[in-house]
Amino acid sequence: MNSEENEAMRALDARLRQALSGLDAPEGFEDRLQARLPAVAAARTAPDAAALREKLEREHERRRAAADRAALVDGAAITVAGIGSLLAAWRFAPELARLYATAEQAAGSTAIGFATLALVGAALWAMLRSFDVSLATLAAGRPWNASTS
Amino acid sequence: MDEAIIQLIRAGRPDEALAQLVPAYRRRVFGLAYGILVDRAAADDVAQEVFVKLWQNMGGYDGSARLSTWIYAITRNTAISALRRRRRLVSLSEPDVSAVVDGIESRETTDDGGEPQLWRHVDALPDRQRQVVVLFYQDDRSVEEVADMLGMPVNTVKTHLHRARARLASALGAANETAA
Repeated sequence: MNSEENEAMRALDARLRQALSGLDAPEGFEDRLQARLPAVAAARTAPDAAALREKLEREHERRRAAADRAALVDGAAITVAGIGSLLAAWRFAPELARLYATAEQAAGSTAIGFATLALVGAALWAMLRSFDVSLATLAAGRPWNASTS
Repeated sequence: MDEAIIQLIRAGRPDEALAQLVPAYRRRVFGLAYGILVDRAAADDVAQEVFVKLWQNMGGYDGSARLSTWIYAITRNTAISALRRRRRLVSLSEPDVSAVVDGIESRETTDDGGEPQLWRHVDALPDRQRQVVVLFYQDDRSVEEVADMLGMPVNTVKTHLHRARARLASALGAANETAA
Protein backbone atom coordinates (compact mmCIF):
# COMPACT_ATOMS: atom_id res chain seq x y z
CA MET A 1 0.00 0.00 0.00
CA ASN A 2 1.55 3.33 -1.02
CA SER A 3 1.39 6.55 0.96
CA GLU A 4 -1.49 7.90 -1.12
CA GLU A 5 -3.54 4.82 -0.34
CA ASN A 6 -2.57 5.06 3.34
CA GLU A 7 -3.74 8.65 3.36
CA ALA A 8 -7.06 7.64 1.75
CA MET A 9 -7.55 4.90 4.35
CA ARG A 10 -6.81 7.30 7.18
CA ALA A 11 -9.35 9.72 5.75
CA LEU A 12 -11.90 6.92 5.48
CA ASP A 13 -11.24 5.90 9.11
CA ALA A 14 -11.76 9.49 10.21
CA ARG A 15 -15.03 9.77 8.28
CA LEU A 16 -16.31 6.47 9.70
CA ARG A 17 -15.33 7.49 13.24
CA GLN A 18 -17.04 10.85 12.80
CA ALA A 19 -20.23 9.39 11.32
CA LEU A 20 -20.57 6.40 13.63
CA SER A 21 -19.71 8.19 16.87
CA GLY A 22 -23.21 9.66 16.79
CA LEU A 23 -24.83 6.24 16.73
CA ASP A 24 -26.77 6.06 19.97
CA ALA A 25 -30.25 5.41 21.26
CA PRO A 26 -32.67 8.32 20.81
CA GLU A 27 -33.15 10.95 23.51
CA GLY A 28 -35.16 9.84 26.54
CA PHE A 29 -34.09 6.19 26.33
CA GLU A 30 -33.72 5.83 30.12
CA ASP A 31 -37.01 7.63 30.82
CA ARG A 32 -38.90 5.37 28.43
CA LEU A 33 -37.28 2.32 29.99
CA GLN A 34 -38.15 3.44 33.52
CA ALA A 35 -41.72 4.13 32.42
CA ARG A 36 -41.97 0.61 31.01
CA LEU A 37 -40.75 -1.29 34.07
CA PRO A 38 -43.88 -0.98 36.30
CA ALA A 39 -46.00 -2.48 33.53
CA VAL A 40 -43.45 -5.27 33.07
CA ALA A 41 -43.43 -5.93 36.83
CA ALA A 42 -47.25 -6.08 36.87
CA ALA A 43 -47.25 -8.44 33.92
CA ARG A 44 -44.82 -10.74 35.75
CA THR A 45 -47.45 -11.60 38.39
CA ALA A 46 -50.18 -12.08 35.79
CA PRO A 47 -48.65 -15.28 34.37
CA ASP A 48 -48.98 -16.85 37.86
CA ALA A 49 -52.75 -16.29 37.86
CA ALA A 50 -53.00 -17.37 34.25
CA ALA A 51 -50.96 -20.49 34.97
CA LEU A 52 -53.20 -21.38 37.92
CA ARG A 53 -56.33 -20.88 35.82
CA GLU A 54 -54.83 -22.99 33.06
CA LYS A 55 -53.93 -25.73 35.56
CA LEU A 56 -57.48 -25.78 36.96
CA GLU A 57 -58.93 -25.89 33.46
CA ARG A 58 -56.61 -28.78 32.56
CA GLU A 59 -57.65 -30.63 35.73
CA HIS A 60 -61.34 -30.04 34.99
CA GLU A 61 -60.85 -31.22 31.42
CA ARG A 62 -58.97 -34.32 32.62
CA ARG A 63 -61.81 -35.22 35.04
CA ARG A 64 -64.44 -34.63 32.37
CA ALA A 65 -62.55 -36.89 29.95
CA ALA A 66 -62.22 -39.57 32.66
CA ALA A 67 -65.98 -39.37 33.37
CA ASP A 68 -66.72 -39.64 29.64
CA ARG A 69 -64.48 -42.71 29.37
CA ALA A 70 -66.12 -44.32 32.43
CA ALA A 71 -69.60 -43.64 30.99
CA LEU A 72 -68.55 -45.19 27.69
CA VAL A 73 -67.18 -48.30 29.42
CA ASP A 74 -70.31 -48.57 31.59
CA GLY A 75 -72.53 -48.21 28.56
CA ALA A 76 -70.60 -50.87 26.66
CA ALA A 77 -70.70 -53.22 29.66
CA ILE A 78 -74.47 -52.78 30.08
CA THR A 79 -75.02 -53.35 26.36
CA VAL A 80 -72.88 -56.51 26.36
CA ALA A 81 -74.60 -57.80 29.50
CA GLY A 82 -78.04 -57.05 28.03
CA ILE A 83 -77.28 -58.77 24.75
CA GLY A 84 -75.73 -61.71 26.65
CA SER A 85 -78.86 -62.01 28.81
CA LEU A 86 -81.13 -61.96 25.78
CA LEU A 87 -79.03 -64.59 24.02
CA ALA A 88 -78.93 -66.74 27.14
CA ALA A 89 -82.72 -66.43 27.58
CA TRP A 90 -83.17 -67.33 23.91
CA ARG A 91 -80.74 -70.23 24.15
CA PHE A 92 -82.04 -71.63 27.47
CA ALA A 93 -85.72 -70.77 27.07
CA PRO A 94 -86.99 -74.43 27.27
CA GLU A 95 -84.87 -75.17 30.37
CA LEU A 96 -86.00 -71.92 32.01
CA ALA A 97 -89.64 -72.73 31.23
CA ARG A 98 -89.20 -76.18 32.77
CA LEU A 99 -87.46 -74.71 35.81
CA TYR A 100 -90.23 -72.13 36.24
CA ALA A 101 -92.92 -74.81 35.97
CA THR A 102 -91.12 -77.01 38.53
CA ALA A 103 -90.64 -74.10 40.95
CA GLU A 104 -94.26 -73.01 40.50
CA GLN A 105 -95.45 -76.50 41.31
CA ALA A 106 -93.25 -76.63 44.39
CA ALA A 107 -93.72 -73.07 45.81
CA GLY A 108 -96.74 -71.57 44.11
CA SER A 109 -97.00 -68.65 41.68
CA THR A 110 -97.24 -65.98 44.44
CA ALA A 111 -93.93 -66.98 45.99
CA ILE A 112 -92.30 -67.08 42.59
CA GLY A 113 -93.62 -63.54 41.88
CA PHE A 114 -92.25 -62.20 45.19
CA ALA A 115 -88.90 -63.90 44.61
CA THR A 116 -88.65 -62.35 41.14
CA LEU A 117 -89.50 -58.91 42.52
CA ALA A 118 -86.92 -59.33 45.27
CA LEU A 119 -84.22 -60.25 42.73
CA VAL A 120 -85.05 -57.26 40.53
CA GLY A 121 -85.10 -54.97 43.60
CA ALA A 122 -81.72 -56.24 44.80
CA ALA A 123 -80.18 -55.70 41.36
CA LEU A 124 -81.64 -52.17 41.18
CA TRP A 125 -80.34 -51.32 44.65
CA ALA A 126 -76.86 -52.58 43.83
CA MET A 127 -76.86 -50.40 40.73
CA LEU A 128 -78.02 -47.33 42.70
CA ARG A 129 -75.31 -47.91 45.33
CA SER A 130 -72.70 -47.88 42.59
CA PHE A 131 -73.82 -44.29 41.91
CA ASP A 132 -73.46 -43.37 45.63
CA VAL A 133 -77.20 -43.30 46.24
CA SER A 134 -78.21 -44.09 49.80
CA LEU A 135 -81.47 -44.24 51.69
CA ALA A 136 -80.63 -40.86 53.24
CA THR A 137 -80.27 -39.16 49.85
CA LEU A 138 -83.48 -40.79 48.63
CA ALA A 139 -85.33 -39.61 51.75
CA ALA A 140 -83.96 -36.08 51.42
CA GLY A 141 -85.03 -35.98 47.79
CA ARG A 142 -81.64 -34.69 46.66
CA PRO A 143 -80.39 -35.37 43.16
CA TRP A 144 -78.33 -38.54 43.07
CA ASN A 145 -75.12 -36.73 42.03
CA ALA A 146 -75.47 -33.70 44.34
CA SER A 147 -72.74 -34.91 46.67
CA THR A 148 -70.30 -35.76 43.89
CA SER A 149 -70.30 -32.49 41.99
CA MET B 1 -17.79 -0.74 36.77
CA ASP B 2 -19.00 -4.27 36.02
CA GLU B 3 -17.85 -5.38 39.46
CA ALA B 4 -20.07 -2.78 41.16
CA ILE B 5 -23.04 -3.87 39.03
CA ILE B 6 -22.39 -7.53 39.84
CA GLN B 7 -22.31 -6.68 43.55
CA LEU B 8 -25.72 -5.02 43.24
CA ILE B 9 -27.11 -8.01 41.35
CA ARG B 10 -25.81 -10.40 44.00
CA ALA B 11 -27.27 -8.19 46.71
CA GLY B 12 -30.69 -8.55 45.05
CA ARG B 13 -30.96 -4.87 44.10
CA PRO B 14 -31.99 -5.08 40.42
CA ASP B 15 -33.31 -1.50 40.18
CA GLU B 16 -29.99 -0.02 41.27
CA ALA B 17 -28.06 -2.45 39.10
CA LEU B 18 -30.16 -1.43 36.09
CA ALA B 19 -29.59 2.25 36.85
CA GLN B 20 -25.84 1.64 36.47
CA LEU B 21 -26.18 -0.86 33.65
CA VAL B 22 -28.05 1.40 31.24
CA PRO B 23 -25.53 4.26 30.96
CA ALA B 24 -22.64 1.79 30.91
CA TYR B 25 -24.02 -0.44 28.15
CA ARG B 26 -26.64 1.62 26.26
CA ARG B 27 -24.38 2.63 23.35
CA ARG B 28 -22.89 -0.84 23.01
CA VAL B 29 -26.28 -2.57 23.11
CA PHE B 30 -27.72 -0.06 20.64
CA GLY B 31 -24.71 -0.35 18.32
CA LEU B 32 -24.84 -4.13 18.37
CA ALA B 33 -28.58 -4.11 17.66
CA TYR B 34 -28.18 -1.53 14.87
CA GLY B 35 -25.41 -3.56 13.22
CA ILE B 36 -27.79 -6.50 12.98
CA LEU B 37 -31.03 -4.66 12.15
CA VAL B 38 -29.81 -1.62 10.13
CA ASP B 39 -32.79 0.32 11.50
CA ARG B 40 -32.59 2.87 14.30
CA ALA B 41 -36.19 2.50 15.49
CA ALA B 42 -35.92 -1.29 15.57
CA ALA B 43 -32.55 -1.06 17.33
CA ASP B 44 -34.10 1.24 19.92
CA ASP B 45 -36.94 -1.25 20.53
CA VAL B 46 -34.46 -4.10 20.85
CA ALA B 47 -32.24 -2.13 23.23
CA GLN B 48 -35.27 -1.43 25.43
CA GLU B 49 -36.25 -5.08 25.32
CA VAL B 50 -32.70 -6.14 26.21
CA PHE B 51 -32.58 -3.98 29.34
CA VAL B 52 -36.02 -5.20 30.39
CA LYS B 53 -34.81 -8.79 29.96
CA LEU B 54 -31.66 -8.05 31.94
CA TRP B 55 -33.72 -6.50 34.72
CA GLN B 56 -36.12 -9.45 34.78
CA ASN B 57 -33.40 -12.10 34.71
CA MET B 58 -30.79 -10.61 36.99
CA GLY B 59 -31.54 -13.30 39.55
CA GLY B 60 -30.44 -15.87 36.98
CA TYR B 61 -27.02 -14.31 36.44
CA ASP B 62 -24.64 -16.63 38.31
CA GLY B 63 -21.38 -14.88 37.48
CA SER B 64 -19.93 -17.85 35.60
CA ALA B 65 -19.63 -15.72 32.45
CA ARG B 66 -18.51 -12.11 32.27
CA LEU B 67 -21.32 -9.60 32.67
CA SER B 68 -20.58 -8.11 29.26
CA THR B 69 -20.64 -11.55 27.59
CA TRP B 70 -24.07 -12.21 29.13
CA ILE B 71 -25.39 -8.83 27.96
CA TYR B 72 -24.01 -9.20 24.42
CA ALA B 73 -25.47 -12.70 24.08
CA ILE B 74 -28.92 -11.45 25.12
CA THR B 75 -28.60 -8.50 22.73
CA ARG B 76 -27.59 -10.65 19.76
CA ASN B 77 -30.39 -13.15 20.38
CA THR B 78 -33.01 -10.42 20.84
CA ALA B 79 -31.88 -8.56 17.71
CA ILE B 80 -31.81 -11.73 15.61
CA SER B 81 -35.33 -12.63 16.80
CA ALA B 82 -36.52 -9.12 15.90
CA LEU B 83 -34.88 -9.43 12.48
CA ARG B 84 -36.64 -12.76 11.84
CA ARG B 85 -39.99 -11.29 12.90
CA ARG B 86 -39.48 -8.33 10.58
CA ARG B 87 -38.46 -10.52 7.63
CA ARG B 88 -41.52 -12.68 8.19
CA LEU B 89 -43.74 -9.60 8.23
CA VAL B 90 -42.14 -8.15 5.11
CA SER B 91 -42.36 -11.48 3.29
CA LEU B 92 -46.06 -11.60 4.11
CA SER B 93 -46.72 -8.08 2.87
CA GLU B 94 -47.25 -6.84 -0.66
CA PRO B 95 -44.11 -6.08 -2.74
CA ASP B 96 -45.16 -2.43 -2.88
CA VAL B 97 -45.31 -2.25 0.91
CA SER B 98 -41.85 -3.85 1.17
CA ALA B 99 -40.48 -1.22 -1.16
CA VAL B 100 -41.99 1.54 0.97
CA VAL B 101 -40.56 -0.01 4.14
CA ASP B 102 -37.10 -0.29 2.57
CA GLY B 103 -37.34 3.32 1.46
CA ILE B 104 -38.25 4.50 4.95
CA GLU B 105 -35.37 2.52 6.45
CA SER B 106 -32.81 3.89 4.05
CA ARG B 107 -34.03 7.43 4.68
CA GLU B 108 -33.83 6.94 8.45
CA THR B 109 -30.17 6.05 8.26
CA THR B 110 -29.36 9.18 6.28
CA ASP B 111 -30.82 11.44 8.94
CA ASP B 112 -27.71 11.31 11.09
CA GLY B 113 -24.15 12.51 10.89
CA GLY B 114 -24.38 14.51 7.68
CA GLU B 115 -22.85 11.60 5.75
CA PRO B 116 -25.78 10.06 3.89
CA GLN B 117 -23.58 8.52 1.22
CA LEU B 118 -21.24 6.94 3.76
CA TRP B 119 -24.15 5.54 5.76
CA ARG B 120 -25.67 4.09 2.62
CA HIS B 121 -22.46 2.22 1.86
CA VAL B 122 -22.04 1.07 5.47
CA ASP B 123 -25.62 -0.23 5.54
CA ALA B 124 -25.05 -2.01 2.23
CA LEU B 125 -22.05 -3.99 3.54
CA PRO B 126 -22.48 -7.74 4.09
CA ASP B 127 -23.97 -8.43 7.54
CA ARG B 128 -20.80 -9.46 9.39
CA GLN B 129 -18.68 -6.69 7.84
CA ARG B 130 -21.31 -4.07 8.71
CA GLN B 131 -21.56 -5.28 12.31
CA VAL B 132 -17.78 -5.14 12.72
CA VAL B 133 -17.50 -1.66 11.16
CA VAL B 134 -20.34 -0.20 13.25
CA LEU B 135 -18.95 -1.50 16.54
CA PHE B 136 -15.31 -0.76 15.71
CA TYR B 137 -15.84 2.87 14.75
CA GLN B 138 -18.76 3.75 17.04
CA ASP B 139 -16.50 4.18 20.08
CA ASP B 140 -13.04 3.45 18.69
CA ARG B 141 -13.16 -0.03 20.16
CA SER B 142 -10.41 -2.59 19.92
CA VAL B 143 -10.86 -5.60 17.65
CA GLU B 144 -10.74 -7.74 20.80
CA GLU B 145 -13.73 -5.94 22.26
CA VAL B 146 -15.63 -6.11 18.96
CA ALA B 147 -14.88 -9.84 18.82
CA ASP B 148 -16.26 -10.22 22.34
CA MET B 149 -19.41 -8.28 21.44
CA LEU B 150 -20.07 -10.31 18.31
CA GLY B 151 -18.99 -13.63 19.79
CA MET B 152 -16.49 -14.30 17.02
CA PRO B 153 -12.69 -14.90 16.90
CA VAL B 154 -10.40 -11.85 16.84
CA ASN B 155 -8.83 -12.87 13.53
CA THR B 156 -12.27 -13.15 11.91
CA VAL B 157 -13.05 -9.62 13.09
CA LYS B 158 -9.76 -8.39 11.61
CA THR B 159 -10.56 -10.06 8.29
CA HIS B 160 -14.08 -8.59 8.15
CA LEU B 161 -12.74 -5.16 9.07
CA HIS B 162 -10.05 -5.31 6.40
CA ARG B 163 -12.53 -6.38 3.71
CA ALA B 164 -15.11 -3.81 4.80
CA ARG B 165 -12.60 -0.94 4.66
CA ALA B 166 -11.43 -2.02 1.22
CA ARG B 167 -15.01 -2.29 0.01
CA LEU B 168 -15.95 1.10 1.44
CA ALA B 169 -12.84 2.78 0.03
CA SER B 170 -13.61 1.34 -3.37
CA ALA B 171 -17.32 2.23 -3.23
CA LEU B 172 -16.71 5.78 -2.00
CA GLY B 173 -13.90 6.29 -4.52
CA ALA B 174 -16.16 5.17 -7.34
CA ALA B 175 -18.97 7.38 -6.06
CA ASN B 176 -16.65 10.39 -5.87
CA GLU B 177 -15.43 9.75 -9.41
CA THR B 178 -19.03 9.54 -10.62
CA ALA B 179 -19.88 12.79 -8.83
CA ALA B 180 -16.83 14.49 -10.31
